[in-house]
Amino acid sequence: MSWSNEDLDLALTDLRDEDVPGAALAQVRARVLAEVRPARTKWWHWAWVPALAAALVVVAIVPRQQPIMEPPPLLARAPAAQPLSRPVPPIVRRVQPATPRSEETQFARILTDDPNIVILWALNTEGESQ
Amino acid sequence: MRVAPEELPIPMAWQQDDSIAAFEHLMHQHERLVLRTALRMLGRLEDAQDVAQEVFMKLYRHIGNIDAARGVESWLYRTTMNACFDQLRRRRPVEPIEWEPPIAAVQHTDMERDQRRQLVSEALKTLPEKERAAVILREIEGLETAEVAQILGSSEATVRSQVSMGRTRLKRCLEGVRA
Repeated sequence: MSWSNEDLDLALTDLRDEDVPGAALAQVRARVLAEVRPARTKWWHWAWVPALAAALVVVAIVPRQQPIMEPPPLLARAPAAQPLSRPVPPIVRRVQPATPRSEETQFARILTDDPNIVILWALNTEGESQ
Repeated sequence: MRVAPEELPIPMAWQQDDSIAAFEHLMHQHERLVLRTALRMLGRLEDAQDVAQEVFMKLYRHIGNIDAARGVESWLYRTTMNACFDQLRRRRPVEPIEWEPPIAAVQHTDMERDQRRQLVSEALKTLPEKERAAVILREIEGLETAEVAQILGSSEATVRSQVSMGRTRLKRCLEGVRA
């Protein structure tokens, strides 16, 4: 069989209308988008660096406040296990009995020639006189 | 007023709506062109898919540098052809294909269109790379000679010569005469 130019032209024009399988197109699209999506979100992976730097600056600049005491946890706790060593007897301190201190001031009575004048001499507790 | 991305030159559309959705829209518009051209050049669907993926990744990376005046299609043809040439170079060197058309098909005077199309498609694989590229772009895709020359980075005279040589080889191949 001989192929004329017209036959060839017709066959080539027919090839122009030939389509590619839709599944093959979908595969290519899926592969490209799978490549593109992580590339576009990559910068998020490094976003924590400036965020951390900013947080450190804030911590360094802002004056520290008194720590707020947290309330004790309300969870019931089992009593801690007692050690198995010999129990130590409690230390009993002997208290020295306090020396009774006289609160009353003692006076020495000194008589003078004048019966209307009496000298009262105050004596302190240590026995010194004033 | 916001303009629909498909109404804008590609780089402007990209800047206006810099999103995966815009890129997907672009890809959807041009994926047939890329895969079809690669398939005709390479003859294997898996290789053509690899090339199409490579081309669209390049489109994604260089979308801002594409000359809007020339259009994205010209860029896609050129990038697809270059990727196909690279793919063919990476393939292990093989003996030139000695193709013989099926006897029954040739002897049949009233050949069906799809049979004829199949024959030409197979015969295309026997052409040298540059001739095949010129025939595909000029004769099948229907581009102007100047555009083909720009895509292939050669002169219009070279393209005309390649197309002419390619057609002659195709006819010989289809007539069952080995070149």
